[in-house]
Amino acid sequence: MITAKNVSFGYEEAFHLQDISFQLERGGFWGIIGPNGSGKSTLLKLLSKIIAPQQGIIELEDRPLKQFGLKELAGKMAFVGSEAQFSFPYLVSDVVLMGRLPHTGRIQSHTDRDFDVVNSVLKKTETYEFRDRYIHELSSGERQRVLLARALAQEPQIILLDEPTAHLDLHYEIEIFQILKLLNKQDQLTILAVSHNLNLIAEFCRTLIVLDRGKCREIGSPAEILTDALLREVFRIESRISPNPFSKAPAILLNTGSPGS
Amino acid sequence: MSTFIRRLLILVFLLIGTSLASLWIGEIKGWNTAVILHIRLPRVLLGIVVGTALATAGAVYQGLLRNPLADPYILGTSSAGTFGALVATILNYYFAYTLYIFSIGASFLSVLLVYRIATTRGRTPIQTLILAGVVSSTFFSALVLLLFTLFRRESFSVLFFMLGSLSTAGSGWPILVSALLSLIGVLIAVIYARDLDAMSGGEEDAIHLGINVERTKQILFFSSSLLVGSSVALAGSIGFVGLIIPHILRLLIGPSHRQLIIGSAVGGAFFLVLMDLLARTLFSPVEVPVGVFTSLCGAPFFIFLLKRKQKELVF
Repeated sequence: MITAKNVSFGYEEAFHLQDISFQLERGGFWGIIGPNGSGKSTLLKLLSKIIAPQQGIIELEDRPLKQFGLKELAGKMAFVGSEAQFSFPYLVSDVVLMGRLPHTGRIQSHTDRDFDVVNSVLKKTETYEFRDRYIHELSSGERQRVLLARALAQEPQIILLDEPTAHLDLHYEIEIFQILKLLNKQDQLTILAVSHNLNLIAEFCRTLIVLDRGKCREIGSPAEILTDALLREVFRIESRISPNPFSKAPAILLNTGSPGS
Repeated sequence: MSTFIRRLLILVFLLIGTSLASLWIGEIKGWNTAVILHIRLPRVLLGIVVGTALATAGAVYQGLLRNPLADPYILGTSSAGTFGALVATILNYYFAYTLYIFSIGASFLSVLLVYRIATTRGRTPIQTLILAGVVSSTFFSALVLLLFTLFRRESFSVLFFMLGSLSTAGSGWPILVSALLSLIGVLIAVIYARDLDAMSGGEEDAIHLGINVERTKQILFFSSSLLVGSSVALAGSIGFVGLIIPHILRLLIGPSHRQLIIGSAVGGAFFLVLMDLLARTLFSPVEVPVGVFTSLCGAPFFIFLLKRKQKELVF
């Protein structure tokens, strides 16, 4: 689906990303983790053509990303960020309808199919009941689901998420990942998400990329690569990893140096 | 019938009604074919063209800069266009072409300049935008005054250029040229309206929706310069139409830009024809430049919006 071959990005000596290679297959559910400034957002910007790599090549469905027009790309790949501030008071349904832009001609009006798609993604993200409310009146958790709905309205094959749950409480965070898991399972949607919540990422993602100072440190399943040593070296935290009693996924127990009781 | 169409039709009826009233009302009472056809009709038509152009340009600027306080007058585009028009006049190339080329060109360059000054890292904060606009507007107004002082022209009054007026409507064909240029500007704006919707969540957000943001910005800055330039060339810089009208229309028909732009085009025409009717009849026989009236309405409106905006943004 997406292949990166020896991709580097940066200015002169200071590379933000250096020599990144991976192959993300269709239907994958991948996570990118790494400390602040490790290049996670830069990698997503490269993959979504906001910026172009200085070295290396990125391919989408075996075609170089360079060859895609922005509109064509938006019909295959959608993006959800951590927050979008709208400068005007749009209705939720208007916002989700914007997701149909990659499939709509300039002069064309929206078709019945556009509205069908909008309704179906509103239902999938459980935002159908807010469709007639203003986007800025929603809570952060509701708004992120609307943005996810807009991304789904693009009918993408792959969806990139840059800290989609950064401003959400745990309940909403889990909710977003549960929706993603369902989409991944039912619609074979390929997912690549950046998050700082290591426990959640380990719980939901099947493959992780660990970035450290612009370099790819590890790629593999959470159970394989999440180790006490890795967390100490990359994230500079003391911890112990033990399986989550509910899901058996690796869970991180923090040792913060506070005295035990 | 959708709410949008219904409200648009109401605006169209208001426009037609005001225009007919403007043809009828005036110092010379009763039916006077010469006055109605050769004096009032061109003036009403010019009002329609200029009002449409300024309100549409305002809606486009607000969308492009993601800033509800943008307007051709506040950003200094109108002053720059006025300066261009004046240069063309003084150079004595008083052919319509040069007039339009100079006023549209100056509008385009000035709005790009203001945009460059006010934008850092893809963001255009309200404060820097207004400051850059004030500087540009003051600068070009100073140039206009300078040219007036150096090249005294009996046929033009400073007031006309600085405050804007529809009183020089004169012969029909420059109005026709302005109308055609404005029509092109409005059409481009309508065609690119959905890009503005996509850009309302930020420029990167719009790229993710497949919008070629840089190209859209260039095209829309150009189309709005067509609108501003072709209107100031004939009417000077009339203030605040581009601020007030898109705002009211956003309340009436919502923020989606295709409807907003079409609505603003009609609403702006109605507003300016009405203001001009007031400007020429309220203190009759003395006639006030219409820009005085629009600024008297617009400035308090601007303050109101600014105060409301302050609550959302940290200054």
